[in-house]
This record gives sequence, C-alpha cells and structure tokens, in this order.
Amino acid sequence: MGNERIEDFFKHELLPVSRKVKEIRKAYFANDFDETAPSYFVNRMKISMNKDDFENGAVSGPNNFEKQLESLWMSQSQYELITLKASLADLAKSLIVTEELDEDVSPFIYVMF
Amino acid sequence: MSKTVLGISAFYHDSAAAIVRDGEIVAAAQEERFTRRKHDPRFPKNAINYCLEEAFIEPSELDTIVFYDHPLLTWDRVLKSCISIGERSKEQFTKACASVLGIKIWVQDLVRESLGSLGKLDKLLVTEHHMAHAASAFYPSPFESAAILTLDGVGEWATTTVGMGEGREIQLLQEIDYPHSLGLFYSAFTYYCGFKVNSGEYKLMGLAPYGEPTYYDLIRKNLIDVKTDGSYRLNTEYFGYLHSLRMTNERFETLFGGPPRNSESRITLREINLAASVQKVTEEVVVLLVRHARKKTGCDKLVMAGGVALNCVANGKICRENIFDDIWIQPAAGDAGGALGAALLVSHNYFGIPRCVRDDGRDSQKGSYLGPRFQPQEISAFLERNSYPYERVISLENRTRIIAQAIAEGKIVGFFSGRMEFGPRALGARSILGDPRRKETQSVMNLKIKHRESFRPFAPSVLLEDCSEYFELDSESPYMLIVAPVREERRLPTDLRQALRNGVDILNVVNEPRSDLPAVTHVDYSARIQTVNPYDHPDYYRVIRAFKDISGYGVVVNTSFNVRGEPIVCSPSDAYRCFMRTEMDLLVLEDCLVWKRMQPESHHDSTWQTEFELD
Repeated sequence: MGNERIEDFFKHELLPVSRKVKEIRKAYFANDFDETAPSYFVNRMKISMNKDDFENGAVSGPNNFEKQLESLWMSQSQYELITLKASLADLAKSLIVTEELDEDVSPFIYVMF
Repeated sequence: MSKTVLGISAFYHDSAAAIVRDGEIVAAAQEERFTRRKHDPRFPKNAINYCLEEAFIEPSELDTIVFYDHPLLTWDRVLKSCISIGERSKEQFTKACASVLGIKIWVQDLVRESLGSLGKLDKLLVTEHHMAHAASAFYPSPFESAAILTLDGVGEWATTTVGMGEGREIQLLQEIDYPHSLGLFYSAFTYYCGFKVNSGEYKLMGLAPYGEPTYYDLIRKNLIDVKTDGSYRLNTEYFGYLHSLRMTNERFETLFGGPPRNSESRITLREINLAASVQKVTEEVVVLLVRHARKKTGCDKLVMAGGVALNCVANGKICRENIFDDIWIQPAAGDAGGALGAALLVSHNYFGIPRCVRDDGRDSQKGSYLGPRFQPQEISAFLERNSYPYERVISLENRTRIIAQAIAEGKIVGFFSGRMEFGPRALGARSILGDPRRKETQSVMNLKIKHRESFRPFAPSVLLEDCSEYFELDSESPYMLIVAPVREERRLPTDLRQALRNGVDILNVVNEPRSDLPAVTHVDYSARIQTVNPYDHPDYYRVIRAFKDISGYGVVVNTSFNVRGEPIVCSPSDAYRCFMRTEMDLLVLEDCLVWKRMQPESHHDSTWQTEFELD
C-alpha cells in the first residue's frame, strides 16, 4: 500500500515537476565542473544558529509539515515546489510507521544516499 | 541554574545518545553496543536509557532533548535530488520516502512516545548536521578559539564546512553541498573495491600503502575538480548514488576497467592501486582545505569532525604539514558524535552556558571513556552465577604484573576495564592486547582472535613519554586518529611492492616483519598510534608501564575487543562470550582474571560465524 502511494506520487506529482524544472532549465545543484569558477565554496547566509533555528526544526503532525514545507520553499523562492506540499503531507501521513526493532537490516540505512 | 541536555543521533548509521550537564559531558554511547548490531542506525533507545541512568535523571527532568539533524532540510535535499534526476530516481525515491517520510520526519513524536516526555521544554530541538559535527569538534577541544573543518558523506545539504569557534560561539562560514562530497567520493571507491560503505573505508585506507597511485591522473581528470582553496566538485555522471542504491555506475566501471570487486574475492593489483590513488587525492584535498581554513579564519588551532576526519593517514599528513600549531579531532567523528555535538551546542548556544577550557591544556572529552562501567562486585557475581572459574586479584600492582607478564609471554589478553569508549576505536577499556615484538602476533590475532585474514596491521598503544622512541610523532594521539612513521632506525628492509607487482598475493607478504615492532608496522613503515597518558585511563597506562619493565618496550598491540562483524563488547557477558569464541588466553574483567585453560570445554563456542554479518 505504502509503495503504491509512493509510486503514484512519483508518477503523477514528482515527474511533472521534474519536467517543468527541466523546461525552465532550473537546477538545484551543479553536476559537472566549472573551469572558470575560482572556488566551489558557497558562503553561508546563516553562519550560526539562533533560538528559533533550534526550536523550529522539528515537525509535529502532517499539517505542520505542509506549512513548514511552504515556508521553506517560499524563503528559497522555489515556488514550483509549493504545488507539492499538500500531496506530500498526505503521503507522509500515510507512511508513518513504527520502527521495527527486530529487523535484521533497518531500512533507514539507505537514507544516506 | 543547572541545565541537562540529551542529544540523539539516529537514522543514518551509528545511532547514539549523549548527556551533557552544564556543558560537561556526562555520558555518551552508541546503540550498536547494546543491540549487538554493528552500525545500528535505529532509534537509540538503549543508549538513551544508559545515558539517563548515568546522569541519574528521568526524561521529564531533562531541560531539553535535541536531535542532531534537520529532518525537513534532509527531505528538501532528497526531493530536489529526485526531481533533478527525474525518471531514473524512482528506486531511490521509494526507499527515501519510506525512511525519511516514514519515520525521520516524525522524530519528535517518536522521542515523545519512546521516552514519555520531551523534557521541560516540551519540544524537540534540532541542530544542523554539520553544526553538530562542528560542536563535537570544538567544544571538547582544549582550545579557546580554533578553525573548524567538517567533512562527511552528507548532512542535510552540506558535505564540507569551514568555520571557527571562539568561547561558546560557533560560526560556519562556507560550505560545499550535496552531491559534491569527499565522503561519498571515498565511499564510492570503497564500494567499487568490494568493501562495505560506511564501514569498509578503513580497509581501503589500510590497503592504500601497498599500492602505487597509478589511477591518480584518471581520477583527477574525470571524477573530481579541485580548486586551489581545496573546494571541489564531482562529476556526477560517474556516480550511482544520485539515482540508485549503488555508489558507482557503468561509466565508472568503464573508466576503471570492469565491474566492482566481489566482497570475498581475491584483492587484485587494481584494487590496491585504486586505494593508493583515491587516498592520495583525498589527502591532497584535505590538506588544501586545511590551508584554506587557516587563511580564512586566521586561527592557529584546528578542530575537525565528520566521517572523513577518521582518515588517520590524512590526519597524519595534516600534522606533518605544520599548517596549524595544534590540531584536535573528535574521536567519535562520525554520526555517533553528532549526538554529543548537538547536546553541547544546545548547552552553550541555546542555554548560554559558558564554556570552560581546562587550565592544564587537556581536552574535555575525558579520554572518550564515556560509556558504561561495571563494578567488580557485579562482575564477580556474573562469573559466580554462571560458574565460570576465575581468580580475583584485588591488588592493582599484582594484577598489572600478571597481565603484563602474560602479554610478554606471547599470550593474547582481553582487557575490559573502566568505562566503555565512545567512538569507533578501542582505547584500552574494551581492547585485546598482545606483544608487538613478536612476528607471529599479527597472524595469531588475525586468524585465532579476529577470525579474518587482514592486510592491515594492528595499532600500537604507546606510553606518551616513550612515543618518540618508536615513532616520528611530536604530538599526542590519545584517540588513535593519527598515523605516523616508525622511526627509521627501527625499520627492516623489504621489497613488498615489487613482490606485489610480480603477482604475489597480498596475504603472502602481509606478515613479513618490517621493524622490531612487526605487529604494528604497516608496509609503508607507518603505524596508527594511540599515545597513552597516566591521567585518562591509569590502569591501562600501568599495564603498558609494567610490560615495559619486563620487556623494555613501552608499547603493546591494541585491537578492538570483538570478532569480525561484531560491535565492540559492552558488558562482561559480551566480553566472556567473545573470549570463549576466540583463542584469547586471558580475560581481564576489572579485577577478575579469567584464564582460558580453566574454563569448561562445554563453553567453547563457534556460533559467532552465523551470528554476525561479516563486515
């Protein structure tokens, strides 16, 4: 059931956004070298954490998740993603699982990549 | 007003918990030690329980709980990566959804449910992943101010950061973002050479000295572009991790002449030279980054954390380059250390607790002996209950002499003493010890104790004051994080590289002596050194001192107390089980001495081979 919903989201929500992003030639990150750049470092806009940064990171419930996604993407001017917020919150709600402590290999090991 | 903070890291690999009270580290431990599953990434319920017990505190009495990573930003990265890749990212997206959206996003609810409370703040705090790494490196260091360099696989977006710390403030000034990652770059070669990602990087590093960097130019030309300030970018066309569950892809395979090595197959000259090549590139990048950190911050001290900071060969190179006056590296540099860093960051940054740097120039990591300890009475009760024969030697002097004598006679000793180490290295609290002078020690420890064939030599624990007699190292290395050369006058001539070029199997040359400390001297005459001072673990220091009185050598072989694929032992029960599964001669459980020859035959056990997945 979970995989079906993920596949459904992937096909009907993510891929259209992916195509749109490619159409407008927007890239979230570079994939190859830039011989002309003097440095690949990005200067951080936020160099330290304040109280709000510590307090506002945790997600509490799907509604809150949707609002936080919107707020994040608005702040980044990445408006093309905002259409995904409601369906992502629904998807997340449907996927909430209790961690299985007896599994030999946790599925969460794959998150790194 | 006293502030107690619980830090948690979980859901990547090596989950852990740590408790900090008023800026002082009270306890820290990795979940794998309790669950007995290596690199256990699951919610660290057992490690949390231990930390709470050590701090004598209930969850509701905690001032706050902090998670070491920002789940929303992690999801932002996963989603944007999949959108960028498109159709080919389906497998990746399916896995990531289940893990990130299925549980990581809801970590606050999970903590509340698991502990019954979120502490007095009634809210889970979160830190940025690399802020937690930076905090784990800076706050316990002995420096009032320092440049900070963090390097790992990936956090939320950042993979590399440069910053500085001063007093209780930490600033991260610059970063390099996913998918460009020195950690993932190294892991890709780890995978390709047939070792496990997230644990086999150490093997790749150990393999490198056998080879020649013949692939260096190919790697630099095709895979990674490095600027003069050490910043770098990968050519993602060669890597599989953006769109699959593999680290490399067909293009990578074509570049290096074939598919990845199967994990248990023979290591060929290709893997050996690839290891040498990627290690050379990594060292070059790290040294450039360190130079940049010096220039950018103006600081004369450096602290480091993140998984790449466990590359002790690169660390040794940084030391020898003399770019900074002094360097301190968090011993739990990987994700486990994120729990500690997050708790320290909240203590100093959120609660404003002043940071106190010690007057004596030593760090605040307490030797990284931050885990559980077992009282002698508990241990003797355990042995009595199970009718395991032992002798109790309460006199420290007598006990130390017996242990040292056993080592000098070539016996292999399991040494279980004091609080368990936090971090991947055994530092004398959960260690197996041997005689470094004997040619056979390495093969005996490998085959009869660790149950493996290994091309890696063991590490030496050397008395701090004697270090320069054996090794070309001017600084302390209490956490086994620096590789340095064995002194030239101690070396024996060998021509192993030529033998390898002639097609001789690596395992046929690995046990050839290369110095008067054959068990700890690598093929390039290097050693991964732990300096032992009299303060952090006095009992361990005394054992080495007593061994010196007998043998004239202030060095012992130190390897982690486990068999292949097993987490380092935590409890006396774990230690006894491991002892009986191997050909160790003596098990020291605090003041109880357990001799193998006295144990009943029925307890000898070889089931470990099916219990632990080989690493």
